[in-house]
Amino acid sequence: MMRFVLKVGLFLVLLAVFLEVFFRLVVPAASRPTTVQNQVYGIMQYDRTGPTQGLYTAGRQAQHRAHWRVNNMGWISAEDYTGRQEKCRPRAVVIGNSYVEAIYLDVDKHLAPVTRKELGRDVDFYSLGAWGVDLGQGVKVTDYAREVLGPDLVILVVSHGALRRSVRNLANRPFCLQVEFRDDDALAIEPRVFRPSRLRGLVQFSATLGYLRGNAHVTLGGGAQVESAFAKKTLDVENMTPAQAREQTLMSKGAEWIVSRLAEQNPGTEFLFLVDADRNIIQTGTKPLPIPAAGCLVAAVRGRDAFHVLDLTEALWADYEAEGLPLSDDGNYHWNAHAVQVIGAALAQYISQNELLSSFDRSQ
Amino acid sequence: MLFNSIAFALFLPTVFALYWLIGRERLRAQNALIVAASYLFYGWWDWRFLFLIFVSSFADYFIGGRIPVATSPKSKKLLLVLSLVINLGILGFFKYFNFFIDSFDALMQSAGLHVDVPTLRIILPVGISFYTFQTLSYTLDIYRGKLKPSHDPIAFFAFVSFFPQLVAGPIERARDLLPQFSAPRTFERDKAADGLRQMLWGFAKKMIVADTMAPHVRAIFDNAAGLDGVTLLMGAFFFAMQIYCDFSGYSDIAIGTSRLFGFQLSRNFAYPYFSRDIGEFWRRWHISLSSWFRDYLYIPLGGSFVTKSRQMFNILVTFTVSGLWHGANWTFVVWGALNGLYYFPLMLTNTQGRYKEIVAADRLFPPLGELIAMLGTFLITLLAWVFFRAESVSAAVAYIFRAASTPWLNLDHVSYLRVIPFAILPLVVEWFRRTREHGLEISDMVQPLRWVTYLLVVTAILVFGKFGSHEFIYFQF
Repeated sequence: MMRFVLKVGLFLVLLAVFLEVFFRLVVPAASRPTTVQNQVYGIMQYDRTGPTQGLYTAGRQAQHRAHWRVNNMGWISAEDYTGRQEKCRPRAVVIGNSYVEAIYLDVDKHLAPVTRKELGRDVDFYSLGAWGVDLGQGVKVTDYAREVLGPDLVILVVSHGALRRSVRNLANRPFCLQVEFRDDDALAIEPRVFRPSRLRGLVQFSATLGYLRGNAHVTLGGGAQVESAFAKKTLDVENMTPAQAREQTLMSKGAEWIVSRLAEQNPGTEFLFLVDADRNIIQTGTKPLPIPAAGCLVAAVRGRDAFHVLDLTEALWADYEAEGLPLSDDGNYHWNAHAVQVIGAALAQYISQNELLSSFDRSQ
Repeated sequence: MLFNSIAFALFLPTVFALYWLIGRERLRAQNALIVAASYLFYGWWDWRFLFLIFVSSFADYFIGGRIPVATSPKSKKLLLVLSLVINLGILGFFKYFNFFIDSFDALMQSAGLHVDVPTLRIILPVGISFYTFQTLSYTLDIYRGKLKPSHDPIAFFAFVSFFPQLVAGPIERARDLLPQFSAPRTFERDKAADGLRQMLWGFAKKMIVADTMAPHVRAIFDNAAGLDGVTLLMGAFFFAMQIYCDFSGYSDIAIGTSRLFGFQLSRNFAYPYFSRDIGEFWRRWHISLSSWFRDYLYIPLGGSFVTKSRQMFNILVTFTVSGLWHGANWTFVVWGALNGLYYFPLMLTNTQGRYKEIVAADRLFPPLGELIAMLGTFLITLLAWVFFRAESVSAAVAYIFRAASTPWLNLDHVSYLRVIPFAILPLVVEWFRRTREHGLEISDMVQPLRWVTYLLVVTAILVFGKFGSHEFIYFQF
């Protein structure tokens, strides 16, 4: 019996070694940069002390591959950034979550470099994306950007749920800045201190665990994670249930709070909310209504000259109608490279038409 | 608890370690551990299920003990009837109540009568069809004098609830499995090693083949009305492989697991898709169930010791009831009856028991005649599987009719082509291992080659297997 157990144990060790080699060389497991919390600003960035380059893969056979890079300031970018003192041309920053971090795309295909290329001008276009950053947390990233980078234009990407998750009454995001409404008071909930677990370190070290988690999407519960980016059906604003109406009210108040705070703390800076469209519906061949966040933000920025909202529904629908190309890849609800190209072009056009990066302020 | 879950991956080594630490000398303690572990395994789905299995076990233990000491044949019969009523009553209520209500309602409506009979929201306990039949074999064999009653309640409860085979078989006969709980078990390294191999093969069939087939089968059957004949044929083929790999995969895991604990379960599948006629098919498919119905239904009806026409009637009844066992839907009844009808030509020509050995046991490929017979048998089972899988009898008929009548050169099925290798692979592997107990029975290979094979199979499961709560098909029965 002991011999049997020892043999099984030996086989398991051999299996572990084999799988580590296999998932590094043959079917490379998804690797991700290590997330760390910037304690000064309370925001998530990427660790520069560990590997600063890697290969992200997706799919069970790692059929989808993209290279990532952590730059000098701890952001996912092909280029290094210069601080506000070294700024010598108009500067925009794009702030957001995994749509901006875009680790599933090669770094040169991210929104920031694509938009800069579309602009065709000599401007800085910096990407400040981190997985899980909702709109409320974008306020804190803006604080960082203002002090470290001095942008003239701040673009905040609003994906589905990013506004909703900024309101504590609707969702709990402990590592993000949120606002909680208690009667008529708006209480800012600061992000908690983030302490990475050792288990996470083990998962990142082991290619096999990385594969199971990142490619096979196996969870501890034994199931596979199911990704869902959009609500099952579009909100019918004419026939909302009481719960939906309450949610919309809270989101509107959340949008107001975020815009007010941005305006107070960033005088002279232009802001643009870049709102995603319901691509699930677009890809069924139907033009959708804007996602709920769009209406809340449009109302919140009304009367504020420095604030803009660009709803991507028109641009993405027009492209899909004309080209019929998918806007996200199988098994990944984020923008694919084609969608980023379309969005970059629309963003560049909007910036040019509204002269949002026509000059820069050295004092910013 | 699913076999393909992290919970089971933690559960099994823990129970294994405790079981052998207890030691073969402490038999009752080992059996008690099996009962506790099995109840934990079963209760993982829903703790309420434990009540039913306890009642079924207790009732049959008590009744089985009373039958031999009953004072008259009439009393013995009454006790047997009591056991049948309890077990079949539980099964009938939980599985068939709403089916019969709905069927009765449909019948009344077809006669122009409106009868408002309420249906109930009844949960179907996992594995109820399996363990009720297993306990029934106990009381039936005692009644027939083929088995002495057990006087060890722990051993009996362990026999009923034995976790490897509790929820989807094999359905073990009391006379085969119960004595194993009453005798000390010995750890045999070779058997345990082969048990692990059999488990690995079962996981590969389930996670790589069956779960890969499942979404394509669903897509084809759900959209059959708009698909071409080749795609529909592929859908039936994919389902044939899905149900085979799912069910035989479960059986392999169950048998392999039990061998780790020193038990030997019955073989449940013996490469049925290599059968040359329907008689051979049913000696190779779900063997434990078909033999159960043979011994406890077909033979009591007269078996082969009656006129030919009566034999054919008995076969038809047996298969129809077997179909109903699978589920509360007329599709299963039709599936069963169809298989019964398939037997008729064999019975008329007295050739139903013709093939005993596996095809081409001593050569690489079969003779042309037998190859054609294999393909023909496979095709008629495919036809029956359509009824098994379809939502309704009319949907199955429409499926078959469309498959036969639509243009065959439509290339809409191109997207399914990449799934075909997954469907064919287990057939290829098992063809070359068809004289062995299971597809990964490779004890004759040298150790380095065996280990390389295991590494490749595990890696294939990780890269191609489906993770997530994909239940085994036969759980719904």
